[in-house]
This record gives sequence, structure tokens and C-alpha cells, in this order.
Amino acid sequence: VTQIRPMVLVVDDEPQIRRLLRNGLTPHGFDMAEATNGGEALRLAATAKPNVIILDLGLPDIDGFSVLERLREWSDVPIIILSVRSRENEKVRALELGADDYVTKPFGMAEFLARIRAALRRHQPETAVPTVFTVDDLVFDSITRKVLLKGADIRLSPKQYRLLQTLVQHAGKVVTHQQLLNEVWGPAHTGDVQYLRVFVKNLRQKIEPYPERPHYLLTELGVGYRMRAPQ
Amino acid sequence: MPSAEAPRQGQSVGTDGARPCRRHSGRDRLTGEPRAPLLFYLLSASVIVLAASAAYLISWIVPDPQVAVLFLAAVFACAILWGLGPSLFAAALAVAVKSFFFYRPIFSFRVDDPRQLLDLGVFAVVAVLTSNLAAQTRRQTDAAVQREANIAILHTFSGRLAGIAPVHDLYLAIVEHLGRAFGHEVVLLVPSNGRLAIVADRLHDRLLTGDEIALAEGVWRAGPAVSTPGAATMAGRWELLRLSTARGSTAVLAIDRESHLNNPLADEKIHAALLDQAAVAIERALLATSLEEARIRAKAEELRDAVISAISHDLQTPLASIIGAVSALRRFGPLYDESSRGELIATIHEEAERLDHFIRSVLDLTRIRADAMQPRLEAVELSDIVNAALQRTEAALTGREVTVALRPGLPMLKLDVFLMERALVNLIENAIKYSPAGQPIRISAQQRGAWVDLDVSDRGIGIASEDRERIFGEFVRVGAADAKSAGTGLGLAIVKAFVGANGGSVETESAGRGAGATFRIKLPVASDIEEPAA
Repeated sequence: VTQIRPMVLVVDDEPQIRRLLRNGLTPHGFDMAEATNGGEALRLAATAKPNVIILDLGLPDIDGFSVLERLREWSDVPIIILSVRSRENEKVRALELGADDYVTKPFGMAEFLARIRAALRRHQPETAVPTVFTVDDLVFDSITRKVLLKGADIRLSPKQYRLLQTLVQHAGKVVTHQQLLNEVWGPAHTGDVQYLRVFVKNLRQKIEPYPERPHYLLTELGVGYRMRAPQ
Repeated sequence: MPSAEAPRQGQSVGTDGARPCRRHSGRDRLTGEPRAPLLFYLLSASVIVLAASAAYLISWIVPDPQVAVLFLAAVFACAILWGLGPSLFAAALAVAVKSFFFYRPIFSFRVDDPRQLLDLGVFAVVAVLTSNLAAQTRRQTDAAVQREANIAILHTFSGRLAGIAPVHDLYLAIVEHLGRAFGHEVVLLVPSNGRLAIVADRLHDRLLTGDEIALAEGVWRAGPAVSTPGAATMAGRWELLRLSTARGSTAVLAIDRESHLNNPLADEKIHAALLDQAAVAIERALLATSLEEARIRAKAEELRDAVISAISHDLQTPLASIIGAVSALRRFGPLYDESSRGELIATIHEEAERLDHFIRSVLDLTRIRADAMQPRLEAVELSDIVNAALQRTEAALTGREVTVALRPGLPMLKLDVFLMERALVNLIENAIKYSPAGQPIRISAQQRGAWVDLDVSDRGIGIASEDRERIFGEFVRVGAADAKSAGTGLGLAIVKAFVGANGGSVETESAGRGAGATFRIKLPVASDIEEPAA
């Protein structure tokens, strides 16, 4: 990353929210561009070269989902949805359209800053494909195709390995049920969320020291699963 | 010519829709009876032959018998059995046979005796009178049988319609019955919000185009009454019939004239009666629906009033604190020392969160009320829900010891994850609200037979036994005198509704005031969760 101050593009039609983010983000070393509607957002996304985009879903001109869709046609810049809509199906839709994260209003500034930093970190190409992924006592080695918990080899079925691999590739980011089903079982099996849940339950018995309080394979209730990101 | 198609020879129309056989190709002009087939003439001839043989045998025993009487009886029988044509034929044949075999000159048709002419006349009159009488009787009998059959059909139909509660099933039954009666596939269109919509159609693919539905709407508004023959509106292959009662139109029936079903009921009167019955049944269903809607509206209004009065308190109290604290900080910020400023900011934060919490509760409640709450039941681990609820209440649980004891090996449950998480969050918040700071909270779960019990226990003020049911009502706050307990009064009502939507129930246990409380969510164990192969 050549820029010292990352550029954040905030897309929100509420002036109060934009003012809050301006005052909340700039002291933490971010530059900020502001768009009040979808059209402006698409234009600024191309011209202001943001490192991360904060996108509201309820925009006056174009629906936020459409903005997201059109941005993803040409850009892979991290996009964080910031919306009052808290229904699971909307989170799922945004994540499947390519959003990196979803934060509901009202939100705490500290948590929001952490989410922005995590999205920026994930986007750095050198961390994108880890060959050996380590988080706490869990080691996922994609060269030897071995998974170790506290140094002990864990025997996984090919599908279990594939599921873990998918989550590791996106460590720290929620992968939706549909994305997981599609990745591991193929497009014919999307929709079988119940199947996935039972599968994850069995996988947790192998990789989690306390399967009832998972530490590595985390649930985003109603949305999907997330691999704990290394500190 | 006024006539039902009279089923002959004991044919009857049953509820199974058996159709009267069309045996006769034409109708007799005198009696209105269907014209007799050749067979009846042959049978009449054989009866006369029989009569002649009998007369011949008798003439061996009795000299000069009154053969005319025998032949008269034969003609009489023909008239009763086979109608006018065959009996007239029998009369003529009888006179011919009689004059040929029994009257001088024998073996000649010459008629010397004027009695022969008289006999011919008498036979003909008997044939005409008797056959007419017989035909009339037959018609009356047939009509009575038909009437009885029609009444049976209508009775069955109305009985079936009366026994159906779900409105969609009613529509399907109507389509099923009417389709069979008409001998065509039919589609039922019922008004909803001022427009007609297809509500039932047996094969699910016989759809009307937009233009055809527009035509149907025209029929529904001002179309001809159902029983007017020949006045039906056609829309493509659809014949459109208006179903109406004394109050007006209730629906439109579209009959697919290009489809054909076996064994229709050909009686137009019964068609009209069936349509009337259907119209009344639909009207009753629509009326019941609108009554239910009115009831819900009334309930919603009642709730809205309660919400408004609660809002005036629950929104304004935290807003007062926020505005007060903020204005103090803006105006006199530099005058306060560090700790006072910290206190004011903390007040703003806490009160804003209280507002947020209240708004979320009201939104939850509107979800229940708007009937939009259709739970999406999915297999889920209870631990996922417990962990998510704990995460959401993390800040409020600060300083408390939280014990989570989920019995290992709990089965997966079929739940709506959103509703269950909200219910559990509310129970945890309730435990926080009604127990002193620093007191532990325990969440435990275990299977008991076909149920999994999820308990949230606190060591708080407990619940008086008389309050155990009441606390699940809306806007009920027990012990609200304690300033800390100023909640929305909605939390437990939401718990009850959300758990109920998941097929579970919620109950409380408390040894009484001051003894702490346990809220127990009972959830059914699902039987149909398949384990995938690894």
C-alpha cells in the first residue's frame, strides 16, 4: 500500500451520519470522500480511488444493492455495508453480492473502526492466499493438506477439509451458507442449509476443544460462518 | 318443448354424475315422448301374435270366444309398455289378425261385419288414451326421480361446502364440483382488494390472460346473472359466469369450453342451483375473512393506543436525559471537571442505547402484530443461539458471572434462529434487569423426552405467584418502582410470542419474592433432521 492515509468513501444520504463518520474516522488516519446518492457513489468510486467504501442501503436514487452490484462489476475494493436494516436475509444478500462486511446502525465507533481495518488488511494481496494458516492452537497447512490442533493431526474427510479451506481463505470474513454450499458441494446443493448446519456440527466436534462454545469456526446466526482471524 | 330429458327404463341421475342415456333419436309429436325404436314395433307385433295364439287355443275349448277382449288387452299392454306408435300399430295389426283368422270370411281381410270397424275404432282410442296416460305417469315418475337426484346432489354439495374451513380448500372444492357438473375444467376468480384473482384451478395451468381477467372483471361488475341462458360472456375459450347472491356479485366462474370431462350433469336447473350454492358459500367465506380482518384491525388499534402512551414515556424519558446532558456539555463543558463530563457522556450513551433497545422491541412487536412473523424453521444447534445471544448482551453482562451449561449431545432443533435469539436476549436482559448488579446468571439446557428445556436463572427479586401469567402481557412491568427496572414492558410478551412461533412454550419458576427466578423455554425436538455423510 503506497498511500499513508487510506481513503474512505462514505455513501450515505443522512448528513448526520456523514458528519459522525467524518469526525470519527479522520482523527484515526483516514481521508474521506462523501457521496449522498448512488450515482455520485459510482462516480466517486472511479475517480476518488477509495481504499474502502462505506455503503448505506437506503439511498434516494439507486437502491444500495444495485450500487453494490454495479461496483462489483469492475472493482474489488472492500465494501462495508452500514445500514439500519438488520434482517438476516438482507445481510446474506449483501454478502453474496460481494460486500465484505455488514454493520447495522446504530453502531459503536470502536467496533466500526476495527471492521474497516480488518477489511483493509484482508485486501492486502500478500495475505490473500496463506499457505500455512495459524490461529491460536489451530494450524491449517494447505501444502501438506494437514490440519493440526495443539500439534495433533486431525483427520478430516475431503469435504470437511474443503469447507475449512474455504473459511480459511476468507478468514475473519463471513462466508454465507449459500457460498459454502456452492464451494464445497457444488451449485446443485445450494439451499440445503440444514445439511450444512449438521455438517458444521460434526466438524466442530473435531476441531473445537469445546464444540458448544466454538473458538475457531464461528457462527454468524442466520447468515453463515466465519473463521477466526489471526491476531 | 318443455321437457327434461326423461331417463327411461328406471334410469336415474345419481350423485356420481351418471348421465341419462340418450336412447331415442327423435320425439313423438303427440305425447312429447321420444319416438319408439323399431324394436318396440316388433315387440308389439309379437304381443299380438301371442294374443292371437291364445285366442286360437281358447277357441278350441270355448266356441266362439270374445277374441276382441283378448286383443284389446294386448293393445292396452302395448300402449303402457311402448307408447303410442307401437300401440297404434298393435291396434291395426290386432284388427287385421282378428278379421283374417277369427271372423268370416276366415282367411280374408274382407270386413263384412261393421263390428270390425267399431273394434278398430275402439282399439285405436284405447291405444291413444292409454299410451298418453302411461307417458304422463312415466314423465311424472321420471321428474320425481330427477328432482330427488338433484336434491341429493345439492345436499351433498352444500354439505361439503359447509364443512370446509380453510378458504382455499373451499375454493378448490367448488372448482372440483362445478367442473364435474359442467363437464369442463373451470377456474374460479374471487375479488380481492377490488380486483379479481384466480383462487382455484384444478390443473394449475389453465390460466386466463390479463385481457381475459379484465373481461371477467367486467362480468363481475355488471355481467348477466348466472342462469340467463345464452347470455354468457365469452373470453377466448372461456365462458364467464357471474356468481351472485342477493347482496351482489361474489365471484366469476370461467368455464374452459375446450376441455371435456366425462359424465357431466346436463340439467341446467341444477347448474344454476350449484352456482347459487357456490356463490353463497364464497360470500360466507369472504364475509368471515373481512370480519377477521376487522377484528385484527381493532386489536391493532388497541395496541397502537397502548404503544403511543408507552412511547410518550419510554421515548421522552431517555430523550430528556440526552438533551439535558448534551446541552449542559455544549454550554458549560469547560466548567465541568473530568469526572462530571465523563458522567454526562455516560448518561448520553446509556440513554441512547435504551432508546435503541426500545425501538427494536417495538419493531419486534409490530412483526408479531402484522402477522408477518412466519417462522423459518431450520435445523440449528442451540449453542449457536445461546452464543449469539450472549454476544449481543455482552456489554450488559459486564461484571456478572455467567454460567452456560448445555448438556453435551443435545439434538439439533428446528427453530427460527432470529426469533429464538431475540427471545433468549430478552430473557437475559430480563434477568439483568430484575437481579442486582454482580449477581450471577445461569443458562442451561437439557433434553427431557420430546422437549429440550432452555433455562435462564437469576438470583434476583423473583416473581410473586400471582404475577406468573401476567408478566407475559404487553406493557406489564412488575416492580417498576425500582428505577433500574424501567424497561419497555414488552420484553416478555415478545419472548412468549417468539417462542410460541417456534412451537415451544415459556414458563417461570420462582420460590417467590426475593428468591430469584427461572424462565424455562420448552422447545420440541425435531424428528426429521438427517445426518449427512462426512
